[in-house]
Amino acid sequence: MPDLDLLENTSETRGTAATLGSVVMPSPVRTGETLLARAAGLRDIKRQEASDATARHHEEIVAELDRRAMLKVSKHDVPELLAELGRRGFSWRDIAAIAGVSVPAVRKWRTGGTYSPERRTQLGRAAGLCDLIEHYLIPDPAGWLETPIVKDVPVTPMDLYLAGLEELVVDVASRRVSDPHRILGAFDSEWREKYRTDYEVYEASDGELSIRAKRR
Amino acid sequence: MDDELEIPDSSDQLYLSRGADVSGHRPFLQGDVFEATAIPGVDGGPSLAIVTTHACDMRGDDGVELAEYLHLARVEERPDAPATLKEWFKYRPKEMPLPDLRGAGSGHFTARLDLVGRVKTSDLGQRIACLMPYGITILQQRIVNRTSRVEISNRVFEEKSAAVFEEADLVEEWIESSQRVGVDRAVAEKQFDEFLGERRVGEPKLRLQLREAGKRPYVRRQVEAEIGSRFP
Repeated sequence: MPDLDLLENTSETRGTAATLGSVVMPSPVRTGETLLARAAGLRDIKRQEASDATARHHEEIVAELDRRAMLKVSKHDVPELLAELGRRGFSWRDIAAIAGVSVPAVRKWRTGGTYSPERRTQLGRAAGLCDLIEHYLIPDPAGWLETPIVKDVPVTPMDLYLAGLEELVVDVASRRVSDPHRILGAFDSEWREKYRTDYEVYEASDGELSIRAKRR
Repeated sequence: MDDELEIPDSSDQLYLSRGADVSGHRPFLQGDVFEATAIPGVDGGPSLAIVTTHACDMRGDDGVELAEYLHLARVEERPDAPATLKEWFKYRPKEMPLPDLRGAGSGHFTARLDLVGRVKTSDLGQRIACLMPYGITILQQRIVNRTSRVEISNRVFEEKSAAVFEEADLVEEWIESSQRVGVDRAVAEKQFDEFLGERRVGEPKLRLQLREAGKRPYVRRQVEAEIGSRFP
């Protein structure tokens, strides 16, 4: 951790006093610069501490999901894990994406098809994630996972999870992110451009959804 | 800017199922590819053909029975396909590329969006592929671009049709379960339609709730529970 006292002897703060006879008079300008430098240093320290704490928290999240996945896998085989995710309301398409296989492959697993231990762990991890999300008082984890993080941007916590950003999913669930745009930035740095469109979906006069140009 | 023709990263992203993996329980949907289908007005005899009728427009007035006619486009082999998906999808807007249509490494095909006709549904051949919703939205995007030269993000098409795609998945589950206990398919389809469209106490109809992304898991749970009680 940087030592605040060291700041006193930096080039920025050195020689901040004027001498009047034998009495050293502090220069108002130099004193201001010193305070500015101190505040800046403090800010840097706090930023570094926050960054370290976030990294540590993320490591713990991953470790917790490892633990929960192991627990699920030790108790349940693949058909049972599929049934659990199905009961939560996961779509077969999302389950297939989580396991990294096709939808027909997942459908076969339900009736006893063959699968690798790795697939079983991936399903167990998703089931464990749901339990953890519930811990943050989200009653319907599957519904929450499919809800866009920001209005008008079709990126969901499920997209984060499928992109391997499970720690960010938990950050959002635990409401540790004050600016959701930062999450989108971590998911895709070009999200503003990528998800911008001049069109919108609306309910037409016949009650069906339709597409039209956005009104300016 | 996102209102550009979509380019998939891989051919696998396009297909829900191919060949023997195609489920007979799945309702016909836009983007389904059929074998040996003659398209009136299109020369060359029976061929592969892809459904271009919009996903929302494939049923009759009752919303259940398949329409008597659908629009299909001729699908042809494309041995001279551009080397990369980017080149193919970005610079050939008049076709719908179908790389690896019969499975990985089995050759490339393309849907000729200029060779479209009205086919009686009873004349359709064997279904050999179903597109993922992502693939269907790419097809929709290219049809709109072909007929109007307008480019709209495929994500807008996804938002517009997501409820229909979801309903197709749920019908498939319902039909598969009902067939196991010997319920007639037409009866099961009607029952499903009624269940999804029935009035509910204190909440909108399930079909309407499918329009909202965060509500879809709830609807799936309701359908799953109903399947469990009707077809134990």
